[in-house]
Amino acid sequence: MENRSKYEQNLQSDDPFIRNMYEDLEKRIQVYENNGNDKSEHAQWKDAAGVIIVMSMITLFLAATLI
Amino acid sequence: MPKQSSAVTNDVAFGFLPTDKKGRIFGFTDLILVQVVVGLSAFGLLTGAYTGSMLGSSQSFAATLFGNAFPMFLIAPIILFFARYGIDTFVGFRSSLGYKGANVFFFVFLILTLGYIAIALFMAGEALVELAVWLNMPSFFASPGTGTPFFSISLFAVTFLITVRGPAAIRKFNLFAVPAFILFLVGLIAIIVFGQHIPALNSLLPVEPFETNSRSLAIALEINIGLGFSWLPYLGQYSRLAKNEKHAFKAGFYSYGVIVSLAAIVAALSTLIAGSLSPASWMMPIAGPYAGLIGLLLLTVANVGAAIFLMYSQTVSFKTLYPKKTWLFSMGTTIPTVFLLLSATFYNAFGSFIAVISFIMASLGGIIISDYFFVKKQKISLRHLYDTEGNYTYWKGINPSALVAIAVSILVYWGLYNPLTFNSSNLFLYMSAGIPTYFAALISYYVSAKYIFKYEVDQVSNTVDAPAQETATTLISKGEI
Repeated sequence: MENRSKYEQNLQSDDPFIRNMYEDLEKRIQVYENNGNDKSEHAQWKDAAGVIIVMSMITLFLAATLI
Repeated sequence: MPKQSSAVTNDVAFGFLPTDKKGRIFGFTDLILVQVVVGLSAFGLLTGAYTGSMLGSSQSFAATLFGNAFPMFLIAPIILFFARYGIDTFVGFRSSLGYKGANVFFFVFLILTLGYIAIALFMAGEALVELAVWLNMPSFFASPGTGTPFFSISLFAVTFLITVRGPAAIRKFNLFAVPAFILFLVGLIAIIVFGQHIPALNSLLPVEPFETNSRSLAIALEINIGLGFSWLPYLGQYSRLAKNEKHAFKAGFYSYGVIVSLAAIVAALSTLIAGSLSPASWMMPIAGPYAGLIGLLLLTVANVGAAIFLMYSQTVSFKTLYPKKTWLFSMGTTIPTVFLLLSATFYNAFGSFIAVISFIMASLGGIIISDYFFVKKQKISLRHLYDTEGNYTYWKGINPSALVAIAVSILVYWGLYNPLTFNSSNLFLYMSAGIPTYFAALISYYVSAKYIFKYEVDQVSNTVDAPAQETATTLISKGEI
């Protein structure tokens, strides 16, 4: 009896829903692995500037109500 | 039925698969809108109500804003993970918790969701009791002791019957439920702002403060911090559909951390005005009999809508994890909610419930942030997230470092604050419990992963992508999958 992983078993499942889903999954993983992620799409520190400012203002507001 | 079954199947596949380029449709505004609609909820109302029962208006406002925004500020960076890989939360958690650890967390989430559903439906039941009183119905319906459980269990049945029919029926109901909640909130804001309540707000005193103001403030902050951290399991839901990471991150923080706290702020002010913790009892004193009647109906519809959303999300998540189970079986996992609706005991313990959520989500938030940014340095293998016999197996499917971090979190949180008895240490008054627990989990996870349980996947972070570049065929031939 061939020792197959669960992942491979699902790729060859008799249930068409499971098989199709894993075939689709395999395709998407391969696309991701082959193309990687475009570095330009990644968030940078400067993208958090607005969030940090808003958080600082809220913190100051809390501090002001306590004084 | 086949139509419903096919729609559910599509939703299960959609939740399971990493989002491809075609599926990344949400820009910043889309994300804000969808997350705000989902985030405005009964829990926001109750959290605000508890805050307004302990603090005056300006401190309620500040505690609610900070309590919601700061935890989101701490956990929002994990949105970059879900947005980058296009994966849902429970798939993403496999890299830090292990495959079985992520499943254990799912079951914790499932139990918490039963609590969320119960709170929404019990609040709706309370609103219907108020209506029954107004309509002079028999005392069985008009008495909170019998009427609220009766109405809330009946609404559970309605919720179940709508949800079991699948997404088409839910979308039809939500055409009423979503606008109902928004109308309810806008109406309350309008009445508070344009009515004669604003000048009086500063002089109103909270109805159930603790013995000192600092204790009231610390407990109110902790409850709001619980609400802020409670969004953790939902962060992957829509950010995985974002066009890019920065929009997903910013929209996550602003929607869950800032805008949805509006519901809690309105609730805190309403509690101060009406002098009651129960949203159903605010309507008549604040809005008068006829507008109050409309408010009660809107509150009921909105809460049933929230319960449907929660029930459907839980059932689809269950089917995503166990695709071979039937839809009806998966729906059956929500039935224990009925036990929480039999009396007001659970609903009245909301303050303890949200504090327990604060403990669970703060510790998990610390773990996943530590794992993704500091231990694995943002290098995750998408293939191994899905291959449940892959690199994230750790010890029998559970990451021991996550267990260490949880053990440390238990000591820190329960040492600072006991949410069941409300006993606390003096330190709790200065630093709350949820936030230090987050940092304790983050640091202890890092130390454990790097220096105690040194798994290869955590040590050689720069080479993690190497197996990720290999195709399934290569891995199968190596016997790795």
